[in-house]
Amino acid sequence: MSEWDELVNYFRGRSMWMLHYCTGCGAIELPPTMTSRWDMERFGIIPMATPRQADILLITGYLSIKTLKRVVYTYEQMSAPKWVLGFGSCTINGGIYWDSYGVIQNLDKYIPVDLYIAGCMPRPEAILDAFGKLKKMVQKGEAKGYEKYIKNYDWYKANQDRVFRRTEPVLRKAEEVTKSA
Amino acid sequence: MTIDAKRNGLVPISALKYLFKKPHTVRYPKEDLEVFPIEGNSPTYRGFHTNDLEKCIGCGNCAAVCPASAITMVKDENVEPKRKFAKKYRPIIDYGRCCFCAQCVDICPTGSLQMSREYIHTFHPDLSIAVEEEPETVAKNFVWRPDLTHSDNPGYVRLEGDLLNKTIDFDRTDPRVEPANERKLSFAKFVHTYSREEAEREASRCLGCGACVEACPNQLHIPEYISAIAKGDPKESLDWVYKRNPLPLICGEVCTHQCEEACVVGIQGEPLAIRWLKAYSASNVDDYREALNIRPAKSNGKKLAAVGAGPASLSFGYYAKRLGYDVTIYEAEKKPGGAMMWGIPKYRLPKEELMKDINAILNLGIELRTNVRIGKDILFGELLKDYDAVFVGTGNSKPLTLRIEGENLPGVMQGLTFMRLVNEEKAPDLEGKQMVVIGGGNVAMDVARSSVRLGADVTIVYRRRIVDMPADPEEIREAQEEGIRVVEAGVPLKIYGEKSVEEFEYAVASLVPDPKGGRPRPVVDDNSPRKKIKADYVIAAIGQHPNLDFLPEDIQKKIGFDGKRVPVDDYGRTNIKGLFFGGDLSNRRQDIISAIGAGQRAAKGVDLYLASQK
Amino acid sequence: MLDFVEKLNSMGLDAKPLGKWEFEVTVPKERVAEILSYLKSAGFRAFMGLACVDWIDDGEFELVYNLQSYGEAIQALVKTRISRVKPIMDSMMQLWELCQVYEREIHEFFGVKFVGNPNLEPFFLENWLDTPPLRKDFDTLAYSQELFEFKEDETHGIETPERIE
Repeated sequence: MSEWDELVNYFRGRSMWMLHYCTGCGAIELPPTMTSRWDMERFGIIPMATPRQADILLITGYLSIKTLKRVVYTYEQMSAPKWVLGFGSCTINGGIYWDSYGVIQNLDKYIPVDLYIAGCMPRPEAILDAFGKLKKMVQKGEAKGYEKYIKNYDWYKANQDRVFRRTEPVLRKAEEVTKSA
Repeated sequence: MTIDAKRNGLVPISALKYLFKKPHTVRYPKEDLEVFPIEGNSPTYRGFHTNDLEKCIGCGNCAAVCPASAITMVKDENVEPKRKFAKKYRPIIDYGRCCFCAQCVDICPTGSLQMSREYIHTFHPDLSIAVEEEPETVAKNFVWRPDLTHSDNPGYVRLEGDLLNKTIDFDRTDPRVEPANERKLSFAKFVHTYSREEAEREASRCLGCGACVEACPNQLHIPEYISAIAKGDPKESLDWVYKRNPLPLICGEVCTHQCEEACVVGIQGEPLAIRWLKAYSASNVDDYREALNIRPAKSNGKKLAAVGAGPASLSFGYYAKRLGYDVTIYEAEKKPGGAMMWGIPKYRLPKEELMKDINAILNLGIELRTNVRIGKDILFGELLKDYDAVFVGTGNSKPLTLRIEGENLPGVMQGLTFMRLVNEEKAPDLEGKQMVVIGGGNVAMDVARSSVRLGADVTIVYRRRIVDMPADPEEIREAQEEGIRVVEAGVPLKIYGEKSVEEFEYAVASLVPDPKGGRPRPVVDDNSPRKKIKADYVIAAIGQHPNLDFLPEDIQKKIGFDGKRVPVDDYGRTNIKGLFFGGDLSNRRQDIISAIGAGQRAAKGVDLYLASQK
Repeated sequence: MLDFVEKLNSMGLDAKPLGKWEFEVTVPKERVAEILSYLKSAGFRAFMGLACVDWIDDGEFELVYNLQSYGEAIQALVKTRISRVKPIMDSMMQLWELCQVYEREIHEFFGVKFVGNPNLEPFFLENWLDTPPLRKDFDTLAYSQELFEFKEDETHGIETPERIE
């Protein structure tokens, strides 16, 4: 890493703009984190309305298949360098929605995630802790999920298509039941 | 607002007063959270779990209750649980599933699983992990086995005193019991069977974990039959019981109920009354065969003999008949039942309940030949020749004697002999007589309590403490309620009397603790104080040994009988082909349910043996 | 409120109060429109929602129309049962336009067809080809195991006791 990159990474880590797009119930932890009580602006993190100007994408909890489609659009619109934070159990292994027909299990099958936070939901301290960790990783140049996405684009796309572009029922017997309905 | 009131140019300066105020913002992580006690998480915060691995019994209730399917039980041979019936499975928790609802903490019967106030854990999958492996690597990083790591910062915990609105119902519904002064007047059964409401309330306390199943000598389907009662279906319940116990009513009344000792609800509260629940389902079905649709299998022409009509042989007969064998049971007495008929007093097990169970088995087409004494009326060798296989379940019938001076005086009796007289209603007139019972087992309790019902004044002399008695604690308690005195640490020395018993002398032993943690050892020396009490009868109930005199000596030697027990394998097999043993003759635990188990396994053993003979 | 219950009972229906502020009435499929319009004229002007219950053992779906009377502050539950094999129901859009969305949702999640509703296109689900997911015969665990490629151990590592049978 050249000195120039080091310098750039130093500043990148100190002004991460967060896409203001909340998916699951974890969004409720963000207002205290953003506002004066925990005040994440101390770390240069501010909410940003459009994906093209944002650096971090928070996946705050469960993602239904329908939301996942929008999240993938959004992620692809963001310009590199970009980072993804997975909040809570649901993004890790399905969480309480582990057997749901509409909610995905592992987030990192569909987009690369840089940092996972345990909890259901993580408290603001845990979120700030994760931001601190992400900042260090960015400054060291370790968080490179976006490169992973480009490198393994086919794998990610195949996984996404598996849930978005089905052409036949998942459960075989289902077809005849639907017909009779 | 004071600021609005003073409208002058100095107002902006008043903002300076906030300069010295404590900031509203929690400057985490720069400042420790303790600076802001209110901003820290609550005292009962539900963070990562802690689990006391020694206290945990591995019952799996947490895994069963988890709505997110986040808990898996994993065996670890290295854990050393403190409790007797604990398993070696311990929960591991997947924080990629856990939703911190704390149902596992509420349901934990030992209170070992708790939650701490720690909650921060992050994971960064770096570039070295291949994408294909990433989901699995990440998921694995959030799975761990909780131990005492965070226990210095407890959050949501359930302490022993604080039962938290009773997610588990810790209070037992006791059956109606006659008071002591009334029940000691007659031999009528004094514990009433549950009513429907009582049974359903008691059954609904069951957590369904099956810790009791491992404690039961015959592994009955206990959670299944209890949940059937809770659903209000005694017939289905009995069906589950009958799969492994063809004497449900007898066991319901007099089983030694190890299951209740193992019951996890009993760790912090009162265990389920598993025994009374079984009695409830059995007494609510009139005709077992009809209700459960029990049909013997088609006869396969093989003939089996069982010696002694006790629980082991009856169970053997039932399960062998279900496999299609023709079974003949030989009984020396005039009625079947063995120790259940002659040893157990009527106030614990009324004879009609006993016969209900036995008749249900015999009606299946099992031949019972009473008044036939093997070795006298029929030689044992003939049995072996005439039948394809022979099962011996004669139990312990040779009582141990006291071996002290004066034990041959009239008025000195063995416990089983006395109980037999009581059950035949030929007991001597005991009204107002002084009686000494020696021993601390269930037989001693039966003798003492039967004597009380016959009007005697009874003292039990036992050589250790009351807590060391092998009898059921509730038997001991009920005996004391009925006015029976118990002498602890009394070692019998001599019985005085010219024509019959007049006085009984015992020494007060000093109890030496056992270094291995077992029961203490009574030691009598010359300095021990000696005491004499008046006695008209002395009954010794100090245990029995098997009586295998009807077996030819070469067979006794070949099967390795040592005077106490016959060594057998899991299926009751001995060294002699086609000869099976079961019941008290070969069991380590000598009770009815173990005998039933031995009979059932021997039936399976006979089946395997005869299949291999073809 | 008891007047309504009595009136509905006199119309040959099975109505009963469910507490102080609520009553339910069970209506045969053909009379739903009639009863709903009667209730609407009697003050139950607000349509609060439409729910569906799958009584799989009876082979029936139950549709529950939830109406509210602001004037008297009481709530009416109008219940009707339709066959599970051929679930067809008349749309109530002529009474309340709002029914359109509720019927569209129930069509998506239970497969009930509403005659007269112009738009029964999928609403929430993404590219759904299986059994409607809120039917009781839809196995959601099997579905998610298949689609999201995982295998759940439903014993949770709890061993069944060993028995010599």
